[in-house]
Amino acid sequence: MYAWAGKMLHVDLAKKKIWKEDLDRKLGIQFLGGRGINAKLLWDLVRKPGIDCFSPENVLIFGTGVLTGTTAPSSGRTTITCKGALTNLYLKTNMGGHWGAEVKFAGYDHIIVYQRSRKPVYLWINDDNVELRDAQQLWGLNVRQTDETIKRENDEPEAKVACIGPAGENLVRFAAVMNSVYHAAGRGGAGAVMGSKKLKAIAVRGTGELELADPEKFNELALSARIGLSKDREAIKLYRTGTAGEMEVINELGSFPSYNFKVGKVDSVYPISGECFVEKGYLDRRVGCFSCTISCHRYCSVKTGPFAGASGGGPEYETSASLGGGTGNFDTGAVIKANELCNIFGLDTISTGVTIQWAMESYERGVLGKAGTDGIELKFGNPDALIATIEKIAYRKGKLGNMLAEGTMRASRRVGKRSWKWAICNSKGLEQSDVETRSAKGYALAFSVNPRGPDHLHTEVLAEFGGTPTRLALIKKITGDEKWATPYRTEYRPEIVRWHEDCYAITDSLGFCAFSSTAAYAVNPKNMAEMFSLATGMRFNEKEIMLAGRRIITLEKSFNVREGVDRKYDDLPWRLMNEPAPTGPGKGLMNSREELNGMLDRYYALHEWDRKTSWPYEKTLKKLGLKDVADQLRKMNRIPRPSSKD
Amino acid sequence: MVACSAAKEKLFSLNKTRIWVPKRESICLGVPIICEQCDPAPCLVVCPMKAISRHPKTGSVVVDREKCIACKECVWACPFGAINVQKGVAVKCDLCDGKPACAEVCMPGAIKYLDLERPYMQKKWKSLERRVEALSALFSGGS
Repeated sequence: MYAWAGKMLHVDLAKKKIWKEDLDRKLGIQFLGGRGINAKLLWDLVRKPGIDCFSPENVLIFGTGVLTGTTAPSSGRTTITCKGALTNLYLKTNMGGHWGAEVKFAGYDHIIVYQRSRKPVYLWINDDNVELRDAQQLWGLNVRQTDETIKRENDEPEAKVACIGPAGENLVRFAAVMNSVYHAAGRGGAGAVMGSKKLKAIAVRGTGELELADPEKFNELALSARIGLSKDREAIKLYRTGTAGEMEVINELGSFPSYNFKVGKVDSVYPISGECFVEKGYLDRRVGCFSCTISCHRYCSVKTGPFAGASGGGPEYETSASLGGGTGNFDTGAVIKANELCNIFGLDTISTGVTIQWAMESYERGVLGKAGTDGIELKFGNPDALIATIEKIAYRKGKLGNMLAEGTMRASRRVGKRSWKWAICNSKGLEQSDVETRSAKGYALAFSVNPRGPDHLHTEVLAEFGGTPTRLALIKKITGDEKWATPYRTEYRPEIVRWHEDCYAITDSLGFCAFSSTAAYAVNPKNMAEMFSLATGMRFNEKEIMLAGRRIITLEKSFNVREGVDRKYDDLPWRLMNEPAPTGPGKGLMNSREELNGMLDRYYALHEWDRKTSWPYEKTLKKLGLKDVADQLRKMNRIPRPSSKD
Repeated sequence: MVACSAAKEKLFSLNKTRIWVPKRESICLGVPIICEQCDPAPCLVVCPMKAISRHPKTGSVVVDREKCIACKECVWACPFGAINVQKGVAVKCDLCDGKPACAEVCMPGAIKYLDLERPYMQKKWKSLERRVEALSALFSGGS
């Protein structure tokens, strides 16, 4: 096989059995790789609905992109798929770094982990040699220490390690899987699932090679995409100031969700912005993932002040926004320190920030007393409280740590007193990422239909903001008119979201970074199809590869349908649906139920899903070649009748 | 690195390359190690088979695959660790006949191909010093 390494690695932690299987070419044709094949594997391997995410029956699947390990720009990404710890539903979470490429050079496309070990173990892969090793000595170590210890013990400084920190071990529901130390598969709690299996790490050394069908033409095309990307305005911005750049613009627009989405504009967001990290000497170096031309990742450290010595990868926009603005902390040092702690404990910075914000608001409202916070003065703008709470969460220390480790949805249920009103998570149970969806309607729709919960990593629809020629051209291509490049309108949002879903699914499946195809646009469905074809020797055009994207999206949806999810789960946090945006040009706007319903109706219609239940029709599934999915859902009575269409 | 293996071996690998980037991931630091095309070149001087010569057009130091006996003299002589032996032949960067693949794909411009007049070692000194400094941070545990 070309482009794919050609093997799947199966690991049964209960029986301590490891076996290899050739990758089925048909899987590649239908679901490409990475996220796509992962989704199919999860569908096949977790058949019984309702099992708990921490039960041994849950599987943890690592999938590298089809083009990961090649010269295609920004193509080094890996998808992890399982039932998520926050939602107990479909979860795919994606990470950059250098781990995925190393896995492919070792000879594997996918690693599937079954069951649970009784004692802590880690998986050591050295090309063909794969073994489970005792991890007793690693258990309890943070991410940095784990990475370092594994490399030292094996005398392989160039090995790549994906691991969990204390948060994953302690089943914090939003624990991340970290690789190359600072690259997180953050969202949804894959780290907790890994912890429940007592799997501390997967360390890889790969010295093999990948063959492509037409390496010369592929290289040419990859190079032109690289050049395109290096000239792209968005990509250049991402390189210069990172994802945390341009925060000031968002703040000026009044769309900076701070103080738990209560405030849209603060006095100054500069201290926690990418510009500040660069200009004030916090930035030590810019860092790229495997084969990346953008290099938006960074390494920052604090040289002076109370937080001197704090260092690590990032902070990214979402980190600065949730741990900084969200908790009312606008101190550069505090944010870098909080980010470092999340990195080494292995915590998702978004959920950590949003959960602490919820606790802060609860404390200030008097819903959570000092007894509930273990004596911490949990107020907005108190950096010491922020940092103390992060540590409590990672180790589930005290009443507060143990409660917040369950995530916002469960914590607000436990506290009660209508505290769900300011819990920034939706019915699925994931904390929303820091995007003001009240004044960005495309994002609102994309967030609400995301099978893993409300965030921007299922469908990024930056194009709806317009402002650059490429974004305008894309909006015109989708809607027929540039004038729909406005985030305040609900018209054509379903069409825009639908297009981006397919594009995003291919992006993830081939291993590309979403920034290369949906923030910058130098990587697009057309050249992805071409690169895929040249690499694999299969012939795919733009339309065919987009169809594969739609197949993946529909399969992901179907997984949740099998779990019993219906239309009412496609919503947004209560605050955003019921309280108007406080400031900015979008002041007064909301994501009301009516507004969302209007977009959802059209969105389901475009997908040919049922409007009432949101479930795919049998003929829709069959058209996409998902007959086995249709058969299973029919047996469970989860296929809508065509008559309920209106 | 994959661009190098693709150009030279028509394969995508981190192991069949003429450039290496050792890394310390905890401080996000990587330093490229590649032939500096030294002038005079220690590898060229020590080769017992006279298999290493200077390319007349590009000025790069190149290995004659036919003459090479894989004795590794050049590997030990190289001050940069930029030569290794793969499949019984000494392998090193030959600047891809004046169109180096690594520089072509390096978008941030960390690797640039410049046409320098001989003697050029002096001109490269600053960049070399910086890299040696970074390498010592890489291996010593500093940042």
